[in-house]
Amino acid sequence: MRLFWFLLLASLLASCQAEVFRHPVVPTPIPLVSIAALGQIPQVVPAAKSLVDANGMAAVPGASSATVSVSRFDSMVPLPAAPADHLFGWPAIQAQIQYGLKSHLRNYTITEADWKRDLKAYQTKAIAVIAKKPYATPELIQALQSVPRPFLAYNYQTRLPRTQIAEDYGTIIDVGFGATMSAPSIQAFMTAQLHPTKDMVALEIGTGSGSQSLLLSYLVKKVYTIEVRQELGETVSRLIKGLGYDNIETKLGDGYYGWKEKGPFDIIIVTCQANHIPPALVEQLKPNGVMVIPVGPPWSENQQMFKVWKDPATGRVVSRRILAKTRFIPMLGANMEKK
Amino acid sequence: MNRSRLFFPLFFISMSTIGMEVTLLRYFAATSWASFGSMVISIALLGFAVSGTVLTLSGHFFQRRFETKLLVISWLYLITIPLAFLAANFVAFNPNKMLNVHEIGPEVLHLSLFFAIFFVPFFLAGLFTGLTFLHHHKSMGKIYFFDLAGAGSGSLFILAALFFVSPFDLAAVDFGLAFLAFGAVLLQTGVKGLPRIALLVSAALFLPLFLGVNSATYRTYKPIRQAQMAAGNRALLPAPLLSPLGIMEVLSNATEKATLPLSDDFSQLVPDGKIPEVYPGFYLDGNRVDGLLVTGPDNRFVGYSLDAAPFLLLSHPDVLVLGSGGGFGTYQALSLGAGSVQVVESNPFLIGLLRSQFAAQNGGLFLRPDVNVLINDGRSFALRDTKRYDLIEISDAAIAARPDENYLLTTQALADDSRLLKPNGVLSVTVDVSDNFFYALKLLNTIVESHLDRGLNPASRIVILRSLFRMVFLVKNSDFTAAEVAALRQFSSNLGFDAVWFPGAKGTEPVFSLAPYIPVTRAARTGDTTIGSSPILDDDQFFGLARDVIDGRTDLSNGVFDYRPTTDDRPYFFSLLRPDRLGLALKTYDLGGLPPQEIPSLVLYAEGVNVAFFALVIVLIPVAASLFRRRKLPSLGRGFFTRSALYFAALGLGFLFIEIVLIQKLALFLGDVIYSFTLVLASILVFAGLGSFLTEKFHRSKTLIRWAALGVVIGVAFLIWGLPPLIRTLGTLEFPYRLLLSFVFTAPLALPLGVFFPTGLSRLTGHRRSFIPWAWSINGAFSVVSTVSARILSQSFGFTFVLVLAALLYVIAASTAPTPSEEDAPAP
Repeated sequence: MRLFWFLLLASLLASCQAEVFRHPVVPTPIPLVSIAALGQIPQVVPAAKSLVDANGMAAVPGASSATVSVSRFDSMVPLPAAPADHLFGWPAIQAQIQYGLKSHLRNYTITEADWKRDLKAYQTKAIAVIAKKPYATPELIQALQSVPRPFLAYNYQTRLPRTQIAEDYGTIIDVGFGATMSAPSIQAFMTAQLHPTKDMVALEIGTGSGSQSLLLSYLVKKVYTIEVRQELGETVSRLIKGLGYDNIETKLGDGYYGWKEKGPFDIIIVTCQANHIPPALVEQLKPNGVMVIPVGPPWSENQQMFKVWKDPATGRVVSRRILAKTRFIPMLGANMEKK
Repeated sequence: MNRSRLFFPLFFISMSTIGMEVTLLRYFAATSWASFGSMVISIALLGFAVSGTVLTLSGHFFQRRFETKLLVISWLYLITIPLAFLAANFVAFNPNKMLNVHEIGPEVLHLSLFFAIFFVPFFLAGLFTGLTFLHHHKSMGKIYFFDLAGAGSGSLFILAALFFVSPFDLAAVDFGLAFLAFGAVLLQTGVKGLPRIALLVSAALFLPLFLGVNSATYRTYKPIRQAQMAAGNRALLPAPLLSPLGIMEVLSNATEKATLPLSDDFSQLVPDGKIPEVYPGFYLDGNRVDGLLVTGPDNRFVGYSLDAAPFLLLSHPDVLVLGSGGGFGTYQALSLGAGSVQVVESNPFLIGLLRSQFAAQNGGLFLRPDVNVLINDGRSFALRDTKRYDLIEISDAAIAARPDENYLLTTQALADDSRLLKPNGVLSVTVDVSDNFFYALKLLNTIVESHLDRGLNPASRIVILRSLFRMVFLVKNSDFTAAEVAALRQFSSNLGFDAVWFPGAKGTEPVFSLAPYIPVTRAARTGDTTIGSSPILDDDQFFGLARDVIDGRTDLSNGVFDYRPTTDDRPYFFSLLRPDRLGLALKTYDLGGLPPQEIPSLVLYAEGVNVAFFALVIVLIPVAASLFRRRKLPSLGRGFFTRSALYFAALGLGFLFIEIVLIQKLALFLGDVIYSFTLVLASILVFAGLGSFLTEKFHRSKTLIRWAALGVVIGVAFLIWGLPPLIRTLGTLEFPYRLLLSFVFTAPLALPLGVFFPTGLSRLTGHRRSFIPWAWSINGAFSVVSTVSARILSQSFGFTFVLVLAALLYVIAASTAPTPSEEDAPAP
């Protein structure tokens, strides 16, 4: 009897081996690829500057540079006057709050006491710690101090301010739509690795809360930043405009393909996980440019932070692991529309 | 109560108990993590051991109003099945946290909770079985038959059920079997009419309750759950495919991208080149197997992949691909001019999908006349095939599919692969080095050892290339020529890969992907932000180690981790932990940590802590009972106590040592551990039970025990020296025959195994009967410990060591068997 059962089961398994799923597909011919040349010394070192005739730019339909179409947003409300030096005291923040509420951009409110408390926490728990790091330059610390980080702590999905969250060294803040605002520690570390100077053009993939763009804007000539999440991207784009950062240009689109019209870039900072180094970003990096990018499996704590540049002699891409065990939200854009 | 009719409840209880074990195995694998086999057996043994001890201590308690008690026990067993699985859903176990030394404590406790929860149904099943045996001691033959027939049918029934019921709901099947048992008991009792119906209905209600509130699904840390959260996620199959091999699903979403080891310079070298953009993911039990290759008109990218390297050396090669994955390896081989491609894939469902629903996406890749597909385990195939190939590719999907026993990457496997290669053929193995290079070192050590075993010089036959996250090992069947080495180095240099080892490597080569194993905390303080020329090999940590291993200057035995070559006797590729340096290994968390492939080993050690605790609890039960009754423990004499304790402890350890090693060894013969697990569980039960039953007819003398010990020693010798060549020769047979043969292999060993425990018990006569609860508890405690320790010992010292230890334990048992009390006649 038992043998019967075994045979029954065995035949069941064997049936899986047969082609039970037979399907009328005619195999298509595969073009032959010759790689013999790859094993030989190349005649010409490939030019690093040649840009890809890339497809798939701006994967989000209708997206274009800094166009705002937030449904509830009232574009008739005049922009508040931003401080010329981008140093935000309480009166400037108050004006921004009022503007946000009137124009329905954000529901961010905060009392003066709470603002000062959050700002102090940011100063003492984050910047003071970063200042002791060997990579901390006076420019970096000054830029960190200038960014009104507590003001950016806002969840765009629930439309709730994220105040009273300790602005300390390692705090990551949920800004809604699956995006987060990275901790000051990692933002400072990545920025320092890029060696930004005032004559540089930077590309950021993953605008998120805008805090990294703001930080870079104090350190470079021009920042281009791309966000794939439509509502988040549109709102933050308007917010940045309202704050008066005119050296930041935003775009809705798929960061996987970079922003070839504005490239090549001295600096590329990817603030979301990619499972490989996107070829278009390599293309859009200047010969002396630097990229910092977390690479690894999505949603994993086993992502690795890499610094990527091009070997001056050969033009080959060089990458060096600078951090192990990081965790960034995934890069969502590529191919979304095509699937 | 009509005695004869109690056989059917026992039959169904026995069926559902085996069902529960397989269910638990699949439940853990699907919801949280695989490799819980030894824990599942431990939990079941814990339940049985405690029930046996309780029964022997309870005197006549259960004999009074026997029917009612049996009815209550069967009812409780019935309802605890769904309740246990519902409760388990709330245990916040997260194996990923085991990698973090600071969070490991709570996870060990979570495992304790699993023990505590699932102990209950097994305890009740043990109680029911034990009571039935006690009640029917006059018709032992029949009762054995029904118990064993139940176990045998249960294992087959549950395997068949796995094709139709998801592991999340599989407990409903065990419930159904337990319900039959309960119903059969109810029919035997005096309960009639409305109360009978009410009892049946009240019990049956637990099924809709279970199915209604059961929240079992993939836990959030499973890759599939993360993928399901990603934007644009879509399931591409109308329903998941179910089988004993796992739940197969195919997802498409924004995070599913090609993870090919492509040159980072591809876009510079081929500015108009296209990489496949759509890459849906195949998931087995919620773990990503591979991405589905979606072909397009431009396939130039295949030449810029790291694993294109061997094709530089071969013209129109005959290629063997072990592990189809999503099809990239096969597509690449054809694109680069392969003459023929033989694909060997162990998962029939993956191949089924690649040939049907997804055939259009990959251009009918697996329907081509020049692509031959075989469903088989890669190693079994290597044992049986007679054709010769120019290139054998072991895909990283095939390697990752075997997180526990991995017979693909052992010294013997590499020798088998070499036999399949033509004289100038190349073996290509790709390993993931995204976390660190530890497994690459282990593989290198294995390759070197395999060469030394065959009297070959590894230094001239190995080339290692690396992309950012992958390392490909090219092992040639003869020495690499200078021209071949030059071509491979140039390929690396042109594409920005690293030639991290080749014959004659000096350390001055450029390195493009430097991924040193770095302390996390120190990295955060790094001041090194320079960019400039690419570093050289001498700057690379892996290069120095690889050079020393190949030159024979080190075997890496001084490291924190276990880099010893994997062998068929110790086929644990993903096992870096050494028991003697466990603490040091855990402390590496702050240095970047252990790779996630080590989680099964960490779970195993955490189980070890648990079984040690629960074993102690079992041993203390007789003490607690005597304290509770305020009776002094009867004095049995220190000598007798020690000898008898040793006897029952040796049985507990030895029995499971053999069973666990059999499961692991037969995994190679049957192709997957789920088959060997179920088969060995059932066949050992059946044949050991039979052995036990047959010896009832004999006088239970010490001579019988000695003969049985001799049988065990011979059986163990067969497993060590007889089974491996048999597996090699008979591996060519079709699966059903291999299944039958495995049954036959276990029989001669299992028969004598069944002799020891009942014979030992029957020799506890007269005043020495008071040792019986101790016998149960000591045997149970050591059984519970033995499953997990068998795995740990196998990983550390190999199967042969564990088997020899088991034989030794049975020899000890034979010399310490309890002698019957002098004032009594020997038991009949």
